[in-house]
Amino acid sequence: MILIVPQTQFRRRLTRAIALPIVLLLLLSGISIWQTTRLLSALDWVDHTSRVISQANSAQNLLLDMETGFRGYLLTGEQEFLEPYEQANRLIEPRLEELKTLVSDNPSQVERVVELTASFQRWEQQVLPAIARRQRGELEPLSDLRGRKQIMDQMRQQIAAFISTEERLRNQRSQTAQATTQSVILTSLLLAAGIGAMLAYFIYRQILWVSRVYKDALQTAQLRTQEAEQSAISLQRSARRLAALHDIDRAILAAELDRPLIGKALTKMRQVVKFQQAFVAIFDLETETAQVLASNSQVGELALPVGTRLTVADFALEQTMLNGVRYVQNLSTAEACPPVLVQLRAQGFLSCLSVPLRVDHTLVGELNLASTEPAAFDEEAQEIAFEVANQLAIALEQTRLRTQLQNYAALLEQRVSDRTAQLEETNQELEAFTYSVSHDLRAPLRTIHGFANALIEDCGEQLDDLGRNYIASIMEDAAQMNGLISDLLNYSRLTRTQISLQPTKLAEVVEDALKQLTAQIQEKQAQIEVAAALPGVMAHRSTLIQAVTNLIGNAIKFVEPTTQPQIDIFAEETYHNGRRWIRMWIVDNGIGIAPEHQERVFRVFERLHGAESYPGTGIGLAIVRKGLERMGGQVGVESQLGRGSRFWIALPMAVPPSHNLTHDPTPPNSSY
Amino acid sequence: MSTEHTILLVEDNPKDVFLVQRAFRKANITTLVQVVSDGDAALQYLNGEAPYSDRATYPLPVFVLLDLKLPRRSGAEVLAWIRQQPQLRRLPVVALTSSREYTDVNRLYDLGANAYIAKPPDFDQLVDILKTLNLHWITYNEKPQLGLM
Repeated sequence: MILIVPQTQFRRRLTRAIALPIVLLLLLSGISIWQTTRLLSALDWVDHTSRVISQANSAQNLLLDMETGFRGYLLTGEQEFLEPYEQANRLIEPRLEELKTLVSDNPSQVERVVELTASFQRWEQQVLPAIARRQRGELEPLSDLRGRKQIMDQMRQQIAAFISTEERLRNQRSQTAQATTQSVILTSLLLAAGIGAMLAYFIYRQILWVSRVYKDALQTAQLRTQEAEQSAISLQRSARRLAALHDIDRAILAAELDRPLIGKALTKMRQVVKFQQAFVAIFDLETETAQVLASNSQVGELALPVGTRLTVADFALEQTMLNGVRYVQNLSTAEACPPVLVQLRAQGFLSCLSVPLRVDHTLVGELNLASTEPAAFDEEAQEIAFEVANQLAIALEQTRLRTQLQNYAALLEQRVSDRTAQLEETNQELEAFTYSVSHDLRAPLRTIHGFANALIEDCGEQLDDLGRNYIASIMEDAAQMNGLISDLLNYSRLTRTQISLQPTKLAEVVEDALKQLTAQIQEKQAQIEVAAALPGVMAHRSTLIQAVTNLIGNAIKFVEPTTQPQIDIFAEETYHNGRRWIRMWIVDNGIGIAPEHQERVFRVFERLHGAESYPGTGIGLAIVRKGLERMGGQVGVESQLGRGSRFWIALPMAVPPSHNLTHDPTPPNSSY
Repeated sequence: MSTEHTILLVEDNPKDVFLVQRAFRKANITTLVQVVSDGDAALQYLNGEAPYSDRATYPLPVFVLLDLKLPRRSGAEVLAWIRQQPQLRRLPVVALTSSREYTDVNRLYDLGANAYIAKPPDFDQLVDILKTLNLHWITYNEKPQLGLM
């Protein structure tokens, strides 16, 4: 909004603009009414006086009529002459009374009327006997005549005095009325003039104020318009500048190498800053050397071609460079130029802008812009050069970091490959060891067993019982050791072999396992109940057979010597992590495992019993666990000492063969 | 009938040779067992080279019992060589070794072994195995023609 006048102030002014003229007009009207009333009253008085005069004249006329009629009668004695007298006689008294009422405000005049009335009454008292006498035909004495004439003259004088008094009064009142009229006119004129002047002044003030407000608003609007125009212009400029800087950004992001990157940035910068030549030098502060990394020229040969090697001191002192943009407006008049500027001057350049490239207060280089015109770089050009320099510094730093990172990566890769080689070596050693164990360690055992067997068979008769017992012990231990080596090899093979998961029928696995255990089952007379429909699971068949064999073998083995083994095998479906699993239970009536030992039994060489009571290597359950782990399954046990054990294995439910899984958590170089 | 046949045992360990021979006796197998103690000797024997050039004394075997870990030339190399010989490539070869490593087993089958038997620790089992081998490869098995292209 352009008219910024507080609303209350505006309303107040509006109220005043309406109220003041109304008040003034009311005042004017009041004064006019009062004046008019005054004038009217003055005129009333004049009128009143005129009426009094006319009444007085009328009364005088009546008196004259009466006297004339009376005299005529006296002369003629005829009744006809007396008629005016009689007519006037009826009117005269009310007329006098009326006159008295009219002048009731004036005591002296009332007095006159009273005197006149008294005179008239006296006159009439003399007239009535005179008329009677005339009727009788008698003559009027002269004294009477004179007396009446005297009274009549007195009355005439009285009326004349009355009238002249009234006339004077009338004149006086007329003058008053005239004066009032004049004063009314005058005051009205003055008032009208005064109020008019006031209103005029007030209106002038109002108009002045409004016009001033509008003038201000107009000025503000003009200012705003100018500002808007200016900001539109500067917006355009900054948009262009931003676009150029953005291009430089993109160039920085796109280019991998410093040189093309800086080249692109300089080309882009030319779109917003006018310069003839520009170059970027990179400093190596340790060796105090500088190198021109990239440059851009619009005019002929470059002052400093790419690759030119200089020293940092050629540019300026390091400290002064860190301070910020150095701008030499006119090289020809500049004093004490650093060598680079001297070189530019020699090439005919007149102004130069030097912007340090800094990363965290460390000087990494300098951007130089040169122009053949003096004072070619305005403030905006300096700002842009500063921004570009910052961007370039960041880009250079990024390149440095990237190189560093690549070096690190290479180093890490080297380390990884070294480690891998070491691991491979270790693995090969392990394999060689395993191979050796499997081959060489068992060979003597076999011979020990074989020759002991030969000894007892071929020469048994020549030996006594003690000797035969010795040989039996040798054979037993050889067999025991062979079992141990065999189990260890199985276990280590499980950790090293790549296995692939196939849909495997649990029923067949259990069948195979039972077949392998035939001898033990028969020996212990074990009762084994296998649920009718065992489902399919994802497994490595031989590993699973081995695991199940071990579990059933344990169930047969670990029972009280007097107990007949009873084993139940069944399976259930469970859900875990959104997948369908099969859990197969092998439930026995054996000696059970105390809760504190239930985790231990799955570890290698963990044995809970002496070999004499329950023979074994202590690796069987470790093999089971390792095998299940390799297949992505699990194994567990629920047991109580003396109440049998409930071992379970869980594997993912079988999926169609097209979804074969290869499960290989071992490092690739350890598999074969 | 069995006397007409020969078994070639390639085995470097004389104790194992003794035990195998004893097991043959225990199994009542009268088939002639010729023994060579290294890979090169096996090749010479099969090739009819000296000192095995006399085929009357050293006839071609009906099958070879081949140990894998041998001096000079390994069992695998011997097998590979046999499979490359046009006259011998049908010769049944049974690996008899102490290794149960999948690498060994798979490699031997890849090379064309006809059977792979791990040497049992128990002598009686060895007797059983030799009985079975005799039944399989000598009594019931139809022998291939050797030396004919």
